[in-house]
Amino acid sequence: MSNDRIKVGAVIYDPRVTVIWGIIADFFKAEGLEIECVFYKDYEGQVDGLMNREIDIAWNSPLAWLDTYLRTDGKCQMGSMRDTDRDRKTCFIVRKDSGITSLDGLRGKTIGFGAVDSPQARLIPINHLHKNGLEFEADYTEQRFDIGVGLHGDHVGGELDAIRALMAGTVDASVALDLNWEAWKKDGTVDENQLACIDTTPLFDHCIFTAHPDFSTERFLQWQEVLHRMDYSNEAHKQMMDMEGLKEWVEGRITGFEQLREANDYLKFLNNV
Amino acid sequence: MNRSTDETKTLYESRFYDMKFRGTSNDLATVKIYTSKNSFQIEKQISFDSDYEPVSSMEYFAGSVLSSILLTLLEQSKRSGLIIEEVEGVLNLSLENPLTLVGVRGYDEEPAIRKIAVTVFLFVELEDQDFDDFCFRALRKSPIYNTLMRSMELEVMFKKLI
Repeated sequence: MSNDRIKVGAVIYDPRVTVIWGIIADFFKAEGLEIECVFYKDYEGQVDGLMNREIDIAWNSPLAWLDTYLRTDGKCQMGSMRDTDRDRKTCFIVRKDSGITSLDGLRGKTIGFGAVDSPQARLIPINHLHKNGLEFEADYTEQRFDIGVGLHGDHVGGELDAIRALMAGTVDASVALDLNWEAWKKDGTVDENQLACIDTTPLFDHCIFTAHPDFSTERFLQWQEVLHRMDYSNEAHKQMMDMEGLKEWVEGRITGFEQLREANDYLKFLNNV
Repeated sequence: MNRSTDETKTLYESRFYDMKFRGTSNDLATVKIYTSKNSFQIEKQISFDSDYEPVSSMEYFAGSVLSSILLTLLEQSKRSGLIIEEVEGVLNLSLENPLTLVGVRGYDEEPAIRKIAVTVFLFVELEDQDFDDFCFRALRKSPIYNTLMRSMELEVMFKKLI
């Protein structure tokens, strides 16, 4: 019966991504546990959907997890994450010829950030600057590249525009997720000889499955048990896992969201939007 | 006797060619289209899966537009005694609001084809002005082009192969 299906929410900005979720739904069906995918335009809508019980489980950005955590007074249930969601960091990039060699050198400068709601390309690095003595709206100028607002930085466009502005000389520094910085160096998007990473944030975690507090914990565990059956050595699973950018589903944890919680407190972000 | 120019006196069959198609869905999932002599199955309006092989409604539509333009050029060249030695076309189509189509909550705007741009590459023995005159005159004989150009942004460019 369709009512027995576990409803899983995901934020979609490109119709091609629905194909991945279709494959995931087929995998769950083959494993004897049917899911129904519900797609949302943005994370705020998805968190609303979770709170309204339109869905049982949400594939949340770190900020959407925090939003859910705060709205449920910490009672939401935490699920799995991708291996690649763990231990990420944000890089502070400058031009090598700028003479800037440390965060303190950014005092009075213009820094290019990603979208307003991007944990990795705005909130966390702003918090990192704060902890290193550079206050927001006082010690540096924020130049924001608001691509895909509502997607919490899922779209790489904001970070990419920021680093392009750095290369064009319209900002003095830019921030980028470590995975993007490494990928851009590898594929030639950026010239490693011209740019340098002067600092990184401490490690943080990224996306995580989050269930409503009233969703059966037993069913959530059963669902996760099936999820973890995805095996990268299985060719059919590998294709699906490559599309989602992981080699293994791992246990979720919320310790990796501490910097984001600090950033939210510092910027009073979720209270202000 | 003067020749009549009154449209109302022209035979209906001379003014209109009517066609009829039938569509059925026995499995309530796919559609089978019957023409007067053939039939074909369509499983999806559009697929966003690059590995999806069957032809979708959108692909039939785009193929219909492009083939009508190319076939019109070939037919008109024969009628004017010109020889087209090579012809190839490229069609680019922009579907607006695709996320409404896949049911993403928060998107309500109607999906529609926003723009079609066709570029036709031709090798034909004509000089520049004659080349343009022939191509655009021929294009006006394409019923699909004539219909769509009244209802949407449809751009057709011709490029001469050298």
